[in-house]
Amino acid sequence: MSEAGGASARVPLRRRVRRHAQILIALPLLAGLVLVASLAPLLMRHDPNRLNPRVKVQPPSQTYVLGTDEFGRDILSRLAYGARITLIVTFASVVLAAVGGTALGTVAAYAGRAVEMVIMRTMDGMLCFPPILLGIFVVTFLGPSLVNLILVIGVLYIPRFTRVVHSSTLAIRELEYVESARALGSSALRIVARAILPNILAPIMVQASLAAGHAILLESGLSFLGLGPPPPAPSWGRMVEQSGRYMQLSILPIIWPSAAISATVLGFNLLGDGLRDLLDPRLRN
Amino acid sequence: MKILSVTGLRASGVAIAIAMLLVAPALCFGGAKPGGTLRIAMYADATSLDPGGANDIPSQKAYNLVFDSVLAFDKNLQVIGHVATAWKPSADSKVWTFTIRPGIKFHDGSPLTAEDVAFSFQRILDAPEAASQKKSSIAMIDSIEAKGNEVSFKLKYPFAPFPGTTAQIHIVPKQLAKEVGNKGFASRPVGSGPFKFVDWVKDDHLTLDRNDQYWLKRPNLDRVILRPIPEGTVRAMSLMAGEVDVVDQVSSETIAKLQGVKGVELLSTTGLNYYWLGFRQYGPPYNNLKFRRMVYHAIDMDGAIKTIFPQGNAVRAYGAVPPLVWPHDDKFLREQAPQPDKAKAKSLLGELIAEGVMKPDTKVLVSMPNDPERIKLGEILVTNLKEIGVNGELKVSETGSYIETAVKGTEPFIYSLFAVPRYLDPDAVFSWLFLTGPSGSTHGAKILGLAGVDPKINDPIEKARVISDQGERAKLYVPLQRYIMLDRLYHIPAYYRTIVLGKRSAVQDLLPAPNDLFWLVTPFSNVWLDR
Repeated sequence: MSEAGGASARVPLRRRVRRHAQILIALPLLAGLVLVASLAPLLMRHDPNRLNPRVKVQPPSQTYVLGTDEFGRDILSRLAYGARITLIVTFASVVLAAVGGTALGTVAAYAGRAVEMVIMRTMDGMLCFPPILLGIFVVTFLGPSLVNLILVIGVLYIPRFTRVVHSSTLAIRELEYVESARALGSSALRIVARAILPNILAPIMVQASLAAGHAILLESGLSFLGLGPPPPAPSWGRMVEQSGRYMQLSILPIIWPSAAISATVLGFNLLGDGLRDLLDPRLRN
Repeated sequence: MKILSVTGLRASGVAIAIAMLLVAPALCFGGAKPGGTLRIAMYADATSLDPGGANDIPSQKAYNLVFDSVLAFDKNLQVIGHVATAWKPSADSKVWTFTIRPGIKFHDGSPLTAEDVAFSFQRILDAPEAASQKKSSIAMIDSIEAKGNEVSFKLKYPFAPFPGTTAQIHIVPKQLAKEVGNKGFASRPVGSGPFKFVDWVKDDHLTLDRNDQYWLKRPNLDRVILRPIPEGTVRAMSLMAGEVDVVDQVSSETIAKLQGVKGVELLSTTGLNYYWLGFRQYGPPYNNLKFRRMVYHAIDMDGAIKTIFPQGNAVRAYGAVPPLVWPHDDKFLREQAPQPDKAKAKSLLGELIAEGVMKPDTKVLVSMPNDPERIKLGEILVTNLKEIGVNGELKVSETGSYIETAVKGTEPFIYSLFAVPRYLDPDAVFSWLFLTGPSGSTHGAKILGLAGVDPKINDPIEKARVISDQGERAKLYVPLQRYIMLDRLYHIPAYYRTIVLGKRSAVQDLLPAPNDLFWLVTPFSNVWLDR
């Protein structure tokens, strides 16, 4: 008994340590990224688009901390300014997806079977396609630009939010406090806004940080294929694509943007996992 | 030696051909071993093996090994006799008579006659416009007559560089081509060239076998296999791994990589090509001379070429006439061309805005085909434009649809194409790129979108066609090129790309061809494998 008791006393502690570790890694990583991106003009010595044929593909030096690319542009500045593109696209598209998905999800859970059927089956249909394929298709039609990229990624991630919100709402709407609100004569809109949304915020947050990781990958993938913001914008995906062409001459220029993408995706995924543990009432002790 | 007079060559064509025939075997028997299979990787597959159909470089590379042309080029790209042993114009240059070499046999054993030669031209002339891309290059032919071993061409207008145009027309057997039709012939081509068609799986491989009965000389190679490998890096890797023996279009990035590799050699030669940035004249601000001058001052072309071709495998262009073609006027053009000057570009931008041609946020579209080098050029141009405060935007399209949009559309933008003169004559450059009006608005002029006929362009081109003296013709072409490149600024000449071939050391007697074809069996070479 004492052994079992000891174990149960240690579990929450170990869990807390683990979730803190995830968040402890994720938060500084992402905060640093946001800081660098927002202060790029102050922090960076070089213009990210300044061409200089005399210093093509230079190794790291004091002047060019991470070296230069095939156009003689400073890689560090391009990474910093590229972070702006990545963060803007990620943030805007995730907000779009979250707002759209939440609206559709609650409507589906609340507006009766026929509407639910139409909305949820449409979402299932959208989930059938690999996002990168739909992304290529749509961007090819609309033409590559920052706004189109945000729209495409945002719309592509709506189904994920719809499903999470839909199932959470279904679970909550039969609870006593929702019923009591209904009994007091609250309108459906008020019930959703005051009783349901605050209580499903946790899964939405978790989903948002996970979706952010995916959005970055999709953004980089589309940029890699030349469907991102048009050049000379320093998007990370394009940097990978361009430096891949002369990889045999110098390996570093492809490593930096790849590492930046991996670190950012890792940051968002850790944040998502950490948040899930932190906000899950079943894991709270 | 490079610039031989056309008249002199005509007379000595036979002599040169015979001399080459005598010299070549002496070289070959010095150690040439017959036999073996040569595997070649090309940057793109042929679109068709019908020499009357396709005119793109990969197709030419392929069918040039199967077919013989009427005349051919020597090492210096001077016209020499081939299937025709002699050719002469009438006094007014309007009727040209060619004497056909006797005793040549097609791969199916039937003899090659003057009839076949006449037919090979006629089927191109008779083809609907879209079916033969070669049609516009021989559109000056009015009628063709075959008599005995002679073929005579009656032209619509006198045309001095006519022999050069016949060097890119290949001879097909009349009877067979008529029997099987164009489609059937393209799927099983039969020519009289050094190699016989075996099989072709599009985008995979084309196999050719030696023609033992080749009239010029017995090819050393048993077999040639052409494989398309579009990615430059992959082409280089295949050569390093020994999976192929020869690769074409060695890309800038891979030159440095291949240079130190044991068993691999690089061959290069001046390229017969001209790359440029052009302004489509279909609308503002592109059709405004001041705007074009502004862009010219904005771009740092020397820096761009240094960036795009770190190995120096391209030469800065100042005019449309590539090296190897006359007249050379580079010194004058270089001195007079607008120099990179940001301040001047900015002040021109100010004037354009004041005149209402542009707004401060007017989008300037730079559209590029999907060619890594020209995408870089586009990126540099857009960056240079942004530096002077112009809202430049780069768009990249798949090459096929890019050309189609450029030829058929009327959207204005800054574009980039390249041209390979079909024969070594300035007429091939200027008429293709700039000629509009009655004698045919060429593809180049349509893409540029010149509105109406500009006599300052058309007159010298048409006058120079009638004259046969090179000096007299140069007097027309020099001012013409200066007018287009310095006064009108329709083009910003970019570069002449060097032809770079990669080969395994075992491949012997392979010469890089400025016109980008494969010279495997020619009067001056016969490739063999030292294994």
